[in-house]
Order: sequence, then C-alpha cells, then structure tokens
Amino acid sequence: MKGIPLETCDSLRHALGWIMRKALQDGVVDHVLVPSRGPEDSFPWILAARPEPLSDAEPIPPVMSVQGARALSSVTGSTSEGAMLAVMRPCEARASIEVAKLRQSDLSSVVVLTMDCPGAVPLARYRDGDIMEPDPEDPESLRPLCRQCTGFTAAGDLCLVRSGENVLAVPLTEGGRRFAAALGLDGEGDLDEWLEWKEGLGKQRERTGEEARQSLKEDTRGLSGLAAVYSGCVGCRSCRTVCPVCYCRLCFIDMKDRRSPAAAHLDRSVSAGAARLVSDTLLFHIGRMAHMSLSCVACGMCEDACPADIPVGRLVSMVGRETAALFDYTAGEDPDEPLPLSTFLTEELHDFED
Amino acid sequence: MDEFEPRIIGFLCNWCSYAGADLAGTSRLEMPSNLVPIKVMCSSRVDPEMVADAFLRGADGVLIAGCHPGDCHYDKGNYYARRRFAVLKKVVESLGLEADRLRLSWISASEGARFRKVVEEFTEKVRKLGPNPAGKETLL
Ligand code: SF4
Ligand code: SF4
Ligand code: SF4
Ligand code: FES
Repeated sequence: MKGIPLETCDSLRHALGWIMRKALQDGVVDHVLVPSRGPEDSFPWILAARPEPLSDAEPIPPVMSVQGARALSSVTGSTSEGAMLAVMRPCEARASIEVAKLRQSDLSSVVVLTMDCPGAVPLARYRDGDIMEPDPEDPESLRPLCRQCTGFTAAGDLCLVRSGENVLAVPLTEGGRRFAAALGLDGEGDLDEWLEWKEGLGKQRERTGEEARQSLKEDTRGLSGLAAVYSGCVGCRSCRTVCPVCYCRLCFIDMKDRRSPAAAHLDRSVSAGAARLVSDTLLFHIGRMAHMSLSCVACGMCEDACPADIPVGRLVSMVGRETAALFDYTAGEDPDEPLPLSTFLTEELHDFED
Repeated sequence: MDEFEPRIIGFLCNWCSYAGADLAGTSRLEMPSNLVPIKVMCSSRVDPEMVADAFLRGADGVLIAGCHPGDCHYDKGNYYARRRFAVLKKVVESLGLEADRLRLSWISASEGARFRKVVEEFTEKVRKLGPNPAGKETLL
C-alpha cells in the first residue's frame, strides 16, 4: 500500500486546510463541508462556497459537536447540482455511508475526506473546561467509545495520514483517486510506519473494547440490571435526535396510537405493585436497538448528548456488534453491500425457526 | 399458590397461520387456551417493537407465526420477518433477557394439527420458564 506524499505540509490540520482551499480555488468542488471555530469554543459545521470562510475551518475539532453524517445528509437529501468535499472524522464517514444506504442522502457528487483521528473529548468535560484537547496517548481524555474505537483511520474516499514524520494522502475509492488526480496530487510514499501504528493501536483498542463490553454486559444483565442502567433516563430522546442513523421523522415511540393507554399503567400498578411513569423507557431503548443497532457506527454522539450520563452508545454498539454478526455485516464499510434488513436469503437463520 | 398459567401473545398472519388456527378450531382439536391470537396481514407486519412491547408488558411468551418460506401471500414477507425476528432475538439475548420466550413458527392454512402442536409445545416451554419477570418489574 502506498500513499501520495504531501511534502509541503507538516501536519494533518495544515494538509486538510490546504486541500480544502485548493479544491475550492481550482473548482474541483463547489462546496466544502467542514467544522469551523465558532464563538464560545463551539464548532459549528459550515458549508463554504468560497475559500475565505475556510480560514475559520477546524477540520479536527476537540469535540464532536454535531455528527458529520447528520450535517452531510442535511445537504444531500437529494442529488445535488455541484460537487462537494466533506471533511470529517472516520466514524462520521462511516455513518455517512449508512445514511446513504438508508436512502437519506445521495453521495454521488460528494468526496469524503478523513484523517487519522485523535479521538474526541467528552462534550461535558470540554464544556466544563476540564479537557480542551484529546490526547491520543491518554485514553482518559477521550470519550469512552473513542477509547475502544478501532476504525480511527482509513475511512471515506481519501484519508490523510501520518507515517513517521510525513503527511500522506491515501485514496481509498475510485472517487478519492479522481479527486486526488484533479488536485494534481501525485507521487508515491511509504506507509509502513502508519500501517504499523494502525495495527498496534487497533489491537490495543480491540482489547479495551472487549473488556469494556464484558463489564457492561455484567452491569446490564437481565431485566433488573437493564432497568437499573436506564433508571436515570430523563426521556429526552436526545440520543435518538443526534444519532446520524436514526432518521425516522416519526419514531415508533412517539406514535400516538401506540402510547400505552392509561389503563395499562393502572393495570401494571396493580399487577406489579407499582408502575414507572413516564413508561416505556426500556421499550424505547430496546426498540431502537432492534431498529437500528445494525447500522450503529459506534460514534458516541448519543452518549455525548445524554444529560443523564447513560452509556447509550456503548450499549447500542455492543448489541450492534452481535446483531450485525448475524449477517456478517459491518456498518459503514461497504456502500454497495445491502442493509441486512433490506434483503434476505431463502435458506438462512433456521436456528431462529421452531 | 395457583398453578401458573402462561399468557402467550400470538401474532398470526391472516393468510396462513390464522387460517391454520381457524382450522384447528373448526376441526375441534383440543389444545391449551393460553395463546391470545392477534391477526396481522403478514408476518412481516410485526414490527419488533410490537414483540418487545408485549414482552415488556409481561407476556410470558410471544409467538410470531406466518406462511412457510416460499408461500407468503405477499411473496417475500416472511423472509424479511425472519431477519427482523433474528435481530430482535439477538438484541434480547445480548442484553441477557430471556430469548426463549420468543418464538417464530411457520404454519400453513391446512396445518390445523401443526398449529395445535406449536401452541402445546410453546405453552409447555413457557410454563417451565415460569412467569415473565417483566410483569412484576416496576422500573421499566
Ligand atoms: S469514535 Fe472517536 S476515535 Fe473513532 S473515529 Fe470517531 S471520534 Fe475518532
Ligand atoms: S439521551 Fe439519555 S436521558 Fe435522553 S432519552 Fe437518551 S438515554 Fe434517556
Ligand atoms: S447509536 Fe450512538 S454510537 Fe451508534 S451511531 Fe447512533 S449516535 Fe453513534
Ligand atoms: S402472508 Fe403469511 S407470512 Fe406473509
């Protein structure tokens, strides 16, 4: 595997900035979608049509303010006229693929540019002024799902990576190769050090993940364990609102017809001795897992948004690993592989039939 | 204490399994009365959320029954239903809940006897599992 050396760039940020500006200046794309530095240490996404606003661009913000796939799908709901460059983290790129497969966006004129991701700081810690930058060496500075993220690089159409002291562009798709060529990037550079780093960190993260999932499983085991984990849920549904792959305009849990009638609560209060109100907390979370855990890219956005500190993203992604394994599926990987629930084999899953 | 009588919710597809249940009835086959049938047009109409709802409201068992693979009135509904059911069962399993309380079976319109067998088997299985703790759990 080879990359294209970007000799004039000494950092990933620098290289990302240079590519964004050049792509707009040279007319290779008409728009650039990228997080920017906003007031009060915020990082709103902007869609730039001219190079000047890009001076505020912050392609690797310390926090994930809005999941990039959500930002992207808001402008790519249907085929767009011009070409677009979207600069985002690897998990945002993976979510973009899922969102396109869920037919909520059209990526045919979009080039997704990613980078070696340093991880993101938990939003609450950042807001408190506790941690201002992710430190890849210190897992404590990262969000729990970043600590176990194995897909921290090599996503999208083109990925900017560090191999030793060098910054290189690694095209991953035909679109990425065309984009690189249109920018006039060429040459071949060694990726050995990057590959080694990627493998080492990947293994370490996989181990962290294994352990974390194990202990989460123990904590949540059974109905009472699960009820305990979600007991602090305030029912704000923020986890769903910010999740890139939860796209339904009307979620099952909000359908008026299916809300448990008062009589059901009264019955339950009699049969169980007492009934939790507002009800259906577990139904919401289990239903959501049944609906979308297959497409969860473990980006951690939902956890960041949760005001009650519930490990929602760790739970959905833990379950998602198991549901996806049924179909040998990996969310956000292959844009051409059908979503598991939109296809079937006539001979399969016989273990589930009685 | 009274002997435990399981309550089972059965989502039966209109064209095959409901007709199979009907046949069992008109043939006067004797069987346990623990299953509460709910007619759906196709097994694929059963959103996992409906199953989860019944389960969390304390149903001791939930059955989804549809036409045999290849025989769905809408051609492919039951193949999709099978995938969705597998996903739900996996979710339930991976959360350490009792996945054995969920069952998927294919029963055709002419299989009154099979309908009886499925109901008997599942009732016995659920009887052994005992009452669904969700029925007594306050904090759901
Ligand atoms: S989960 Fe964290 S480390 Fe992984 S790509 Fe997303 S932000 Fe980066
Ligand atoms: S964001 Fe947290 S508190 Fe809000 S609904 Fe989701 S789990 Fe519950
Ligand atoms: S469920 Fe949470 S972790 Fe999974 S894709 Fe949605 S926001 Fe990301
Ligand atoms: S109509 Fe019976 S399963 Fe589809």
